[in-house]
Amino acid sequence: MMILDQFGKIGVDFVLAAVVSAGFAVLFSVPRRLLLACALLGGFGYGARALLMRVNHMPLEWATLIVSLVIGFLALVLARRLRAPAPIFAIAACIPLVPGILAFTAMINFLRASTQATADGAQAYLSIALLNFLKTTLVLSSIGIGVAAPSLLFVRRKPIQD
Amino acid sequence: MENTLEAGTPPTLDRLELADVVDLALWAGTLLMHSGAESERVEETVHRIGTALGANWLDILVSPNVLIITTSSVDGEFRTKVRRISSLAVRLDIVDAVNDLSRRIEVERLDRAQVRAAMEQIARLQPYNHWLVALMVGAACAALSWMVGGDEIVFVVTFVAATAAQVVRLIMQRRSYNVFLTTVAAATVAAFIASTAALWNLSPRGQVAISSAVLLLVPGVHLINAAEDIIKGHMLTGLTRGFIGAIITLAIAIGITLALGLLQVPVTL
Repeated sequence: MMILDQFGKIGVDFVLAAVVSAGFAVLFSVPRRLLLACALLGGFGYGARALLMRVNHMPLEWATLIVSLVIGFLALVLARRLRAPAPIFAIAACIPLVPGILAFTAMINFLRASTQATADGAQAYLSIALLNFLKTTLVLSSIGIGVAAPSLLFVRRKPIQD
Repeated sequence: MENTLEAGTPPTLDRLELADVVDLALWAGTLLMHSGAESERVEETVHRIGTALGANWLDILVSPNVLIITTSSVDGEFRTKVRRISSLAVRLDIVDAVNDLSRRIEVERLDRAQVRAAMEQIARLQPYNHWLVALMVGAACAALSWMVGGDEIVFVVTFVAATAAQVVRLIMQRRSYNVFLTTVAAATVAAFIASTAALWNLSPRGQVAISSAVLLLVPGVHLINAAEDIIKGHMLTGLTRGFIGAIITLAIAIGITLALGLLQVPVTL
């Protein structure tokens, strides 16, 4: 029952994340023929992460890692089908996963800490900043690993000429 | 030329021909670097274009603000060229077009004149209509506000604020203002407009509008590319891109703090 309750919310998340991916894809001038694929992959990625986090109670970082890996491989499949570079799909689809709010919350709290009169006053803001900074870095690394994984596994080159 | 390209034996190129090859390969690499491609893709594509045009080997150095390429012919003749990388825009249509061209050079055996013509066409590619971009970005940020728990009022306010911020960013980009200054200004405008939800008590979740309306400024592509570059061993470009991303994020935080301080908005983010 728990899972069934979640499906309605996940559906909303899917649509919203698809809008986000499409919006940023237009900002990044993704060609028109690829926009729909970017939007669908973005909706899928965010929806799947929401599912992992709410139903399996997985932490944000791990859920992002798993979903990014799947996005990375699906981007490769789409790239073969639509004859376009895989990173276009991967980047557009990962944009809803990027922890933007965490990133500048960290920065705002760093700024706030510096304006405190005492070290004790600064400490509370610093720990909020540090926590958000750590989360941002780990989530971004997860996305990076996910996007890079397919090419690391399937495309291996010799680094220099014989 | 066509016969010599068969069976893996590259032709001998003289200095003038090598100069042409290195110029085309460098041009393609510069286009990719200016469009938000990650370092590995730049290296691969440049190498593919150079060898498909007859070079025996290419050595490529991708660095945060310079691209260096050496082309060599089978007889040992070589040419090296350097070009400065100046902007860090994101133009995925150009990445797609250069990728497609590098495939066509191999499959359709394009010669250097045809490649040059194709490259000129790619350099002339136009982004989407600016108003369409602003509205789509506004919609994307509004959708993000709903995803993090905003209500209808927050949705509308975020849409207006993010659209306005994109217009500000575009105007400043066109006049070649510094990227960090542009980000501070756009974030200030976004936070100013988004603050109305909290300031006039339009919504109990007013602070969501402020944090969502600036999300268009988060340098997502640079941050993802940074992680990817570092994982693939391109430390220098990766660290530089990550640091640029961090500074742009700091610029967003400065913009928000400015707007909230000036308006005395009673929220903590």
